[in-house]
Amino acid sequence: MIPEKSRITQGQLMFFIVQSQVGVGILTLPHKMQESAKGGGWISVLIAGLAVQVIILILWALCRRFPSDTIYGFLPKITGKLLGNILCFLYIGYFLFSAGTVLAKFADVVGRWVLLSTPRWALLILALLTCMYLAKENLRVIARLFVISSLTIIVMVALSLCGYANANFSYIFPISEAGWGNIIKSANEALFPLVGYEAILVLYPFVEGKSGGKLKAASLGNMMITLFYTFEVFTSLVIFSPAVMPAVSEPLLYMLKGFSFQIIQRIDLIFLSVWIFVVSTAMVSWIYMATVGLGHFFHRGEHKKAVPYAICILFILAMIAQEPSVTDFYDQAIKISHYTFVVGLPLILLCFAYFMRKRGT
Amino acid sequence: MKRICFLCLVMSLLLFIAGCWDQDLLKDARLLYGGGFDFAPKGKLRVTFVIQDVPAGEQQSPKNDIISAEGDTPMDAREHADDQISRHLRSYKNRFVLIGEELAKQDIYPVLEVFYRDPKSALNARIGVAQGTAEDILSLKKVGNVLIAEEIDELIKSKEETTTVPKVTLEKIYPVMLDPGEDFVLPYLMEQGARVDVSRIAMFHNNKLTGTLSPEESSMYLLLKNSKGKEARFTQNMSSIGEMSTTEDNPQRRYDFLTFNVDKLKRKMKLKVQSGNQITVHLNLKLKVSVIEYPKDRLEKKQVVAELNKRLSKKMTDLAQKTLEHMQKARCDGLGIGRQLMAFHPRVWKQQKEEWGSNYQKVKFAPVIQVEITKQGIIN
Repeated sequence: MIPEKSRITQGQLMFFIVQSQVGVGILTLPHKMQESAKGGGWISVLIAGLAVQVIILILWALCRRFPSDTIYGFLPKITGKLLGNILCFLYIGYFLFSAGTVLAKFADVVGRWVLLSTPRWALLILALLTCMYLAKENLRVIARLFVISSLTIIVMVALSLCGYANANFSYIFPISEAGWGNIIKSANEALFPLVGYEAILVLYPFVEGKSGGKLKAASLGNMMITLFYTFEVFTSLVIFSPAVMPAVSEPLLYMLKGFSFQIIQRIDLIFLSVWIFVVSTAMVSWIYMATVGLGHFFHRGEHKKAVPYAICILFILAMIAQEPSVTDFYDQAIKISHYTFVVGLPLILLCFAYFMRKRGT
Repeated sequence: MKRICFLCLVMSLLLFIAGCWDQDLLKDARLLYGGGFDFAPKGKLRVTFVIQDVPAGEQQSPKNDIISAEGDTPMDAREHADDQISRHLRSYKNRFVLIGEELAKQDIYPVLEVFYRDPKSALNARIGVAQGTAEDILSLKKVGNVLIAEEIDELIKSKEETTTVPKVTLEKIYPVMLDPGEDFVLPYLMEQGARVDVSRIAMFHNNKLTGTLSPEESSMYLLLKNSKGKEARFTQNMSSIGEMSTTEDNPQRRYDFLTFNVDKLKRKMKLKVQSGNQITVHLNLKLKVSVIEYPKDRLEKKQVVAELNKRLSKKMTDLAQKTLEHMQKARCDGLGIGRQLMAFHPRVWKQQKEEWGSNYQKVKFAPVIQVEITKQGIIN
């Protein structure tokens, strides 16, 4: 049974989803969208948000059949013990891998923009120690912090509004320059910065209330993030001309670099500091999902004990990903495993559970 | 006990993570406040930096140091400059970049590239073109009682407010510089006596200097661009007989001029593509102005005001026409006509983009400016 301390409300679920979704992708997304969809990049993000909504529906339908089990609980019930446990470990691996990729990208950006000569291991350790401190707490504490840290998104939006001083709206026209086919295709690319909603697979039984309310909370969280991302992509597209975009890999930071207020000369550094907060919450969310699984298998449900060695794995993963070739490999691997574990497998499992009439109690 | 040990460990860790790698102390740095780039023989670059030294005593005022060096690239030249001074040269407080006229006639992108690549550079630095060489202007060291670096920065800033020169920073021209459908313009700095004069605009095409606009035309361009500063003043000759009465020996001459300030500006730009790919740009400007100086007439009669409105509109439209002609002659697409084509007439753009510079010269501009006097000060 779920202990009282780990129960969270539906509102908290919403913010949990929000914080898991906003991660490193936000900085580079406008650049990638412009590359493939030109002026219509912001539409691709909206389409991606819709696709995520459909996936959330699938995940929810699956979880609803086992209202008191996390994914680690219900996988063996659907597929049998052996196969179920193997799948569980694959999921743990997927969650850890996602966290590792986020961490590696985080170190890349900080190393390129602010701390130029600080060695990578120092950046990683600093980030990981903070994450560990939060991840070892019970779910309610984590969720409460996520609610508070969602305020940072408002700050990010407010800072991006500065950029409109230099906006030129004709940069996004013609919207369909790349063709609608490409716009839809690049929605596929926009899907990855939006990952994190699969937290619902683990969190579902911890949330109070009826299943309908849970779906509403998750969808609302996803909607907020989709709109936020669309806004940021749109902002970047109207500020940088199409010819400049390929040269600027973090448009959101770049556009703020030239602004200064009376007291603060470099707004991009403020933005980056806020962004670090958001990224670490996303990492905590991944770490939590993975350690719940590890705790389930090795520590009688206590995820706390699994946190230290999970952190070590992440450190190693992020240290390996220094070369561009390795980073590209990580990106590819994330794409494939995302489709497998978040879209493919749940769909198969759902069909399976439906036809076998398997249900949790 | 366990807790104390843990705390000690954490405290000792703190010693190691105090950001030692990236610290960059102000006391080890020489701050660069402005830079000038000039063309040097053998294809080299000559850079001139203004370094601000703040003396230790509070009573003393800061001093400027000027240093010049040559090199193949801006960074190479900067290294050579660094060799000549104590401590490290740091550019994150940079206020402006000046480019000498000769250098500006070549592509200026390679000169500026380093500013865009360096994460620590100040992208909000102003940028301008210097008549002659940038070194000459920076070598003034002081203008009146003001240090050259401050003077140039503040001067350009105040001229931005009076709609004399465009508000441009390094960051602002970056998206325009690489965009084939738009050209940028920069303030044009001239040395006059021992002073710096900023009243003109330098026009660029394909990142190369192609001409300058007169002070009046510069303000008109900014109105056409819909980027009015806090104020925008013009003086026009209103004599009905035309230029005749303004000959120098005419004692009544001073009565003929009217100075006004543009309070409100409404701009509409419409781009039409007719058959045969003839591009026509309709520019409709509505100006609400206040009269600042006009010794001749009392402005209480409606007829007089109406007559003035009509005449001012004509004069301003003529000025706009002249401005646009000069811009077309310099091939400077400062209004972003190519950008509009790209966005709303992609097919026409595809045909014209190869030769946009000369095609731009064939664009027809039809400016119509309506002036309406709404304020007249505290006397009629």
